[in-house]
Amino acid sequence: MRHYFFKEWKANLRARPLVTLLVVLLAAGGLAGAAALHSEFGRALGWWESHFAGPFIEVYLDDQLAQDVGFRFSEQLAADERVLTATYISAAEAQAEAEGYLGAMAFSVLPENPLPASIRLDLAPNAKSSAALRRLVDSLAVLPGVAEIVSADQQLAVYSQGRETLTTYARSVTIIAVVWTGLWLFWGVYLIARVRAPETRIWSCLGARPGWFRWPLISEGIALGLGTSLVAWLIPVGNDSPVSFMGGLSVGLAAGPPMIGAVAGWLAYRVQRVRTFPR
Amino acid sequence: MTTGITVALEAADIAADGHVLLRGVSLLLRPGTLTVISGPAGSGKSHLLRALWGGLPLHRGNLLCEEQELTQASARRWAAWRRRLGIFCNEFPLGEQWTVFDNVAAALYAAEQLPAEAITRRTAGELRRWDLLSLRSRPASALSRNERVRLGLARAFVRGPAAALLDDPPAGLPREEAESLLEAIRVKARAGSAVCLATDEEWVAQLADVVYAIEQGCLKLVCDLQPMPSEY
Repeated sequence: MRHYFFKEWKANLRARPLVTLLVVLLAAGGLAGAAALHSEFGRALGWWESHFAGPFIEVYLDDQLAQDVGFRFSEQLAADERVLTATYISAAEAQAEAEGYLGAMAFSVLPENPLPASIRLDLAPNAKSSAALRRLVDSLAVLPGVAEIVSADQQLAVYSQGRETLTTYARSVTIIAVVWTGLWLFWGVYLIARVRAPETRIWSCLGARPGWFRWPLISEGIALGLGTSLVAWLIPVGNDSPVSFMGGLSVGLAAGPPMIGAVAGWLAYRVQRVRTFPR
Repeated sequence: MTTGITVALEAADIAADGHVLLRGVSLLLRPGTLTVISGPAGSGKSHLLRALWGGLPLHRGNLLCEEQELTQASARRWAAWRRRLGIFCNEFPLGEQWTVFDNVAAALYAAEQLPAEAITRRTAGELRRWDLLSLRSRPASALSRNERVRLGLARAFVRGPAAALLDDPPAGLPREEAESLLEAIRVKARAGSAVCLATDEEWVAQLADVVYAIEQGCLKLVCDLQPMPSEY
């Protein structure tokens, strides 16, 4: 079987190099395009994250609370897994900050600093949703020493919506790329199967086992997938080097097309089986 | 010596494209016997052979191999059945671009897990028997009609099949060449195979052990020169 398999494979490559190359290029082009779009989505998401960096919650503390107690309280909050950072802002720091906006004269007429100490919370990425925010605010509100809590509900809703939209587009692009690659690889293997149909019929009549037809086509699908991976890896997009822009997608790009190719090979075998075999 | 098998069709209707060609066919192929099915062109001989190797589903009735039902068998079992057969028919073409050697060796590659040397040896032996060894490197497309028939028969018999189904190998050949081929087929049958040969040449029946004839859509037993085994 191995003898005939490699013979057929070699003959196919020699007889139809351009078709094989075209299939690989088209499949790889789709993947490279998807990878480039993913890279752009990544950048957009990064910008979106930095734009909505927070803080999303500001916890105002009681006037009576000593500074060192407030500081320890902020450390306890920072240990919560839903919290990314907890920054303690003393009353003096709050005044200095406000003077930065309003000018030093704003507070000079007042007998004492009216601003309370507070803790500003940035949320961990998995807690950046309206529901998680609401739960966190509720759990903070019952703690002793907390005078008031201000949370950026509306800002967080805009952030979540934008993130969800970007993620949905990225997923859609991935699905389109997988389908595109799968279709081209299927077409590539199916063409091979069609060209080989008369021989397949002879083998079938001779009583060859199903594996005789199945494994060569699956292997050729995997080989086409590997070729696609290699080409997709090498296609430069814009000024980015091919490896750097793929980032985390590189593993998917290396392993995905051969797996899609294997499925495409199996499908081509099924279709060919229905058309060619006596039964 | 080949281990032959008994193949039987029982009360089978054979249809093509929804049109019943043969009704109530009962046929028995016995090991070591040359069975000839004669009938005019278009009478359904080829379809009958196709039904025997699984190329055409039976409309009604049963196909039995060694008393085991094959009619409702899976694709895998049909493939296993074909591995025990030698087939020579139009639906079973030669690999036109393959060499004579590869065409015959393919039958062994498809059926048996033999080492390459054994396949080469058996293929060369079969080619010698059919006087094709000198043409071993020639593509099938470059052969004459007579050589193509001999190549098809070499492929059919190289595995030492339990049963051989031959669709009119003498067709279009001069009488002398056809007789020599049929003699070689008779030798193969004597070696143990259950050989079934369909033809519209009436003289071929003289060489057969068992003769069936197709008349008006029915298969009739004309003569049986071999004693029927007791179990049938």
